[in-house]
Amino acid sequence: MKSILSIRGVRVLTIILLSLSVAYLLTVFSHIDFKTDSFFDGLSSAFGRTNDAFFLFLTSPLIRVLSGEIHFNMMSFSQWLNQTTPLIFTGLAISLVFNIGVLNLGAEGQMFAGAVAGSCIAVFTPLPDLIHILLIFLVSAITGALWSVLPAYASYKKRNSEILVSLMMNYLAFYLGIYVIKRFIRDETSGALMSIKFAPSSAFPLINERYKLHVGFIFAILLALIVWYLLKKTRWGLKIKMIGSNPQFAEYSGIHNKRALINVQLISGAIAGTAGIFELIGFHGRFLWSSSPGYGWDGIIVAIMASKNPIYVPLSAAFLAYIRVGAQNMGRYTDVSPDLVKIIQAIIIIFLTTEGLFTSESFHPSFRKLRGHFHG
Amino acid sequence: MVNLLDILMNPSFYATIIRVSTPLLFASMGALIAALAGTPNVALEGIMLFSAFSGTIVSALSQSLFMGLLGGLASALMLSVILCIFSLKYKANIILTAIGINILSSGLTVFLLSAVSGQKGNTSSLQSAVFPQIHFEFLEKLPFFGEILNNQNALTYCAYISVFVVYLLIRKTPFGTHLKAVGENPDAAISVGLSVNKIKAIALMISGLLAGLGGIFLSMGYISWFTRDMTGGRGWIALAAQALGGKSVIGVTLSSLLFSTGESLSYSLQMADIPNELVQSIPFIITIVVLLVYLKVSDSR
Repeated sequence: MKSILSIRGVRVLTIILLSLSVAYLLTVFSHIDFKTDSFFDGLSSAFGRTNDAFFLFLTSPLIRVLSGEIHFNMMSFSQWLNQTTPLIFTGLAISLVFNIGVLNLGAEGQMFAGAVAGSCIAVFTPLPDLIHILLIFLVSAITGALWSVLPAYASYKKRNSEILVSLMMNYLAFYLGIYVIKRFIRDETSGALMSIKFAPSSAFPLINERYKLHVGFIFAILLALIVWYLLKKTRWGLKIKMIGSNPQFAEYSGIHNKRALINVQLISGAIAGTAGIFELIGFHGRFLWSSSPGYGWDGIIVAIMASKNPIYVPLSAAFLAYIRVGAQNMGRYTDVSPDLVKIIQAIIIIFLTTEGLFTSESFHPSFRKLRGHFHG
Repeated sequence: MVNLLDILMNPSFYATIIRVSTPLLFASMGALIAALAGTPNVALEGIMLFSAFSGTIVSALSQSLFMGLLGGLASALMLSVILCIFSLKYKANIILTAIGINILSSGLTVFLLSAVSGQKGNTSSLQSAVFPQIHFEFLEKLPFFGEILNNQNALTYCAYISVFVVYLLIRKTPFGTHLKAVGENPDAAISVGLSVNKIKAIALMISGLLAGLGGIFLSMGYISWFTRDMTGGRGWIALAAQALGGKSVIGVTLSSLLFSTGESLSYSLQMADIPNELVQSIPFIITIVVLLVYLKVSDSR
């Protein structure tokens, strides 16, 4: 008897619902005012305020209610799609390395390094429009791939050693990146750390001028299809999955598989390298991150929610971006902290990576006997 | 303009190294114990952060330093137990579970912060307790070194004591022997009747408690409030320090001091013309190089 929760999609949805419920209850609890005379009045007011906040949280990326009328919320919708773009890229990057069974967690640094290198190209004028944009992407991708070389080498030498090397590379990307921005392309007239404005020829096509909805998400979805095709429909993809499911196979079956191990991580680095640059050339028009934006870390949860299958990556990235945008709106108009999203993310990661949980094997033996009894 | 030589001649530069090494030493000793058991503790960052938060909150609510300490340690233990349950009992990937715990800690601290104190960024409005500085009379007469070693926070001295305690634990107790057996050869450990999971769980809990002390220093030592994400990557740096120092207490202590020197230099150099981003990246470059050289050498053997 197979538990219904061992079906992947059902499992993911169950855990998402679980995490949202926990977030809801936490919010209710944080709103209970213990000083009121009647506990139940306090409780119902806490539920009322939580419901208002959660309504905003879960609907605001799509709709906006103005004096009883429902309007389409173009601003938040644009933000949603714009925020989905980098998450698809890093989600694909992490899915790739997870498929080959490597814990290369360097997407954050690859993304940051790629964005810094791309920004250095973006400030140059004059270049023909299309060539400029292509050059920016090329440089970002190559930088990302280079940033993946050392962790890839480490994983080639010894399994799991890539974890620490890739984590260190994230720090290196941040410190060196900020140094490069400060030293070479900083806007000296601004008090905050930001680069000078990018050249107009680097500007990315916009779908919506007012809210700066750029076309990045289309490229991201196309890339997801390409990666999915490579991974699921080619011999190369089959090899990767074999290495991923049986590391000893790669160890003893010769140089070609080891080369695949390196190649996958370089491709993953190149994809992660371009994740951040969309936002800079499409939305901000300059480099203005004074801290690392975290898309690389988000790629981990996106990949986990997508069961490391590239075809599900856009969906899971869209979900994450949706609750992010919703939470930002909630934080703006209510007193609930938008950091609630991190709690939801954490619960999703912890429960989803626990394969043994919620499947029939994880139940206590006596439970299993009982279930067996019921199901004959 | 500040001269590098001036910085190096100034005892306050070294006193800063000792001070900033406090959270790092605690956490890297935690990283070491976990690494010895063969289970890297990537959750150090989140555990430190949560302890820093709950230490401040509990001490502010109870107006007691001791209760704050207990609160901080209890929350460190709680997160470690969560890590153990999911990774050891339910066989989740320990790295991914730990990343989940880090995110949980980052989110939950800010969420609870605004729920408890109504503030979004920090707890500076709360009256929370602080560990005292300790003044040694006999160090006053010692020139230069006296200035460096004297008047540090009580927890700073504890951090250096904890290095000795960890050394003794690893070298002189049966638990230390079991720890290494489990880490190096789990199959052999099972065959002599050791419970691998139990020893790993204990190692992760000790590791968490040490990281918790490091977190408590951050919000109840040098400064007296909690700010969001105040650990600033120290948990990750502790992992780097452990990787650089290998599996020896002395090695990890020295590499922690190297990272602390980098941090202290970056403070001093803010006045100087040398970019502190480059200074701060040096320990990471050294760590990466050492890791890769180690991989290359151990492979060719």
